[in-house]
Amino acid sequence: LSDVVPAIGSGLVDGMIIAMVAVSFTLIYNATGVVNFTNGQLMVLGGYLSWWLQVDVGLPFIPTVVIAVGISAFVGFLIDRVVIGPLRDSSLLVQVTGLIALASVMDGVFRKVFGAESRNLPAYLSLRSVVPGLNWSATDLVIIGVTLVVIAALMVVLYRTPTGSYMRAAADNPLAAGLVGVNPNRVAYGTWALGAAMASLAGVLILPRLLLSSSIGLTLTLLSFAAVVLGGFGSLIGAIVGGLLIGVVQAVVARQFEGGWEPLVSLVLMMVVLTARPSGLFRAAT
Amino acid sequence: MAVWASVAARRRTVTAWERELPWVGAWRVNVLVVVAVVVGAFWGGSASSYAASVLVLSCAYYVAAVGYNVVAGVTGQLIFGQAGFMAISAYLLAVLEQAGVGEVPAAVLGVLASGAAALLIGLAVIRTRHFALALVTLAFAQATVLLIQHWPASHEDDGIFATLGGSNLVYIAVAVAAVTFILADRLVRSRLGRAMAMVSSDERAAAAMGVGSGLTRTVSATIGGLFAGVGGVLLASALQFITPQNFTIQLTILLLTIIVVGGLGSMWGTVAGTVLVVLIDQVLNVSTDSQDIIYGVLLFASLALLPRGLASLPGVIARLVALGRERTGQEAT
Repeated sequence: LSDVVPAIGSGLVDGMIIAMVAVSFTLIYNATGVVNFTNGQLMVLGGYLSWWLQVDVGLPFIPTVVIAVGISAFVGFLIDRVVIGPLRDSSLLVQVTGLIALASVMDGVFRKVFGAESRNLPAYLSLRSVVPGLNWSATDLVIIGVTLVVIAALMVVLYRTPTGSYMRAAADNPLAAGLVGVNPNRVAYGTWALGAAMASLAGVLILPRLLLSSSIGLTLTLLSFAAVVLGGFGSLIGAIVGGLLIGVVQAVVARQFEGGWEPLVSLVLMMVVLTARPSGLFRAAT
Repeated sequence: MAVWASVAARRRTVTAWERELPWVGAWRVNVLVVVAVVVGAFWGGSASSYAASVLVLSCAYYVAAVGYNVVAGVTGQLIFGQAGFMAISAYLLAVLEQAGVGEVPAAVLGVLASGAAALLIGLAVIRTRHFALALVTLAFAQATVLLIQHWPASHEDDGIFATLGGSNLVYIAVAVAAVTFILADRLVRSRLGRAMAMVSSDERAAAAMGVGSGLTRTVSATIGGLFAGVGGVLLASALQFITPQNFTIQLTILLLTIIVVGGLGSMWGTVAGTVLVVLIDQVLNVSTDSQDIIYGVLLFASLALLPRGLASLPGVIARLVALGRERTGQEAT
């Protein structure tokens, strides 16, 4: 059993990252009604930008994070303007298909620009364990700390500032929000920029724990979907809890069963929850 | 006579093609298909093995795309697991052949397994809607590929051989594609086909008319899965050697490109879409990463610029011509 505790520790760190991406997904879903199928690709974008800025350009870590996240925010803005814009009035099928097309294009571009081989970036801090028991390293502590700060900051923005109330208003009732002077376009591209920035930050942070390759985008997307499904669609708290849960269960399964079964965990959990309890684990079934 | 004419008119939904090109009636279509089959099969049989393999590959894509079009296009269900259903039949064919089962029983079992998987998915997700369905099917397809990668009998990532029909494969493939066309064309015009279209546009209205949306969606998913199974068997025998990498999301995106570019819900559109995609594939002869980009851009461009696909092109052109005539007419007066 003592083996399980470090697994839980490692799972919690992964779970933090998944939670951040799931929150980014929920943010975009709530404010614009669009199901973001490019989450994983945005994480991969963050990872590659960070790799490029640190290894090719030679920047230190902090400026790298700022620039990578900034570029990704602009990419998020572009996605809303260029890809979602023309499909805004189309059916859900068309919007989802459009985003899957975009994900495919992003995968292809990553492979063309950065090559097909996997990359492993040296850690930005030591990977040596500093917290005994849970086996957390300094890198892990940074991941946990940054995720908590970002999510807390997001909550403050959403519930304590005018910008946040615009976003919640647009999510709640787009028509009424428009009537009282909220610009739905600005909310849409603002939310996409914010969501893309968060997903890419998650990608930058998790990079040392993960082998980066151009083909993992879909796997990461499905991980964040699994978190959202577990927590219940549209719930920010649910997304966080779901992310942590997926991270822990996946790590424990990886510890107990040899041979790379852990990617199956999120897929099976997602299928079971969606068919048995479509409203998520924590909400009363309606 | 007038009564019969009106009954006949009510029985058949008139497609855009028929409005624009009245000579493409149902009987003439069947004759056309038969002629195309005979020509195609003889050409495929006499042509180089390369041309024959391209023809078989096109038929595989076409059959799977037709199934996809029935579910996603006609019934409007967000299913993104077509590659998973194809993987099931393709791998069953290959693995059963390795185990000494004959080609035909292996292929039939494979197709039935694909259909059964689709039926299960259909039953499981009766309660879920919209993108929940998209997520379940996407997860299912990913999980299928993962399981194949962990299944010793499939030789995991090393790949496995599959054969069907030997030198007669090209005839089988063309015949299957032709039967698929006729079946799908009949299906869309049938009572079931109209029920599917109704569920797609408004489930409540459909229910009010006595069309059970759950049953219709499940049947549609099963039909889509069966066609995917046939497509998977054809794909495996066209490639002759398959690995799990042949059945990733890229295959689903390729099929999606075919049906969207051709026109969602249009049976002729799927033919046009398949021809276009195979032409792009063969003419450009591009690497995998460029394929991701090209199909993605093509898919998006079609959604944004020609949302009803190539099938709507005759109508669009006719309208443009009419508009142009009106304009010049106004200038003349």
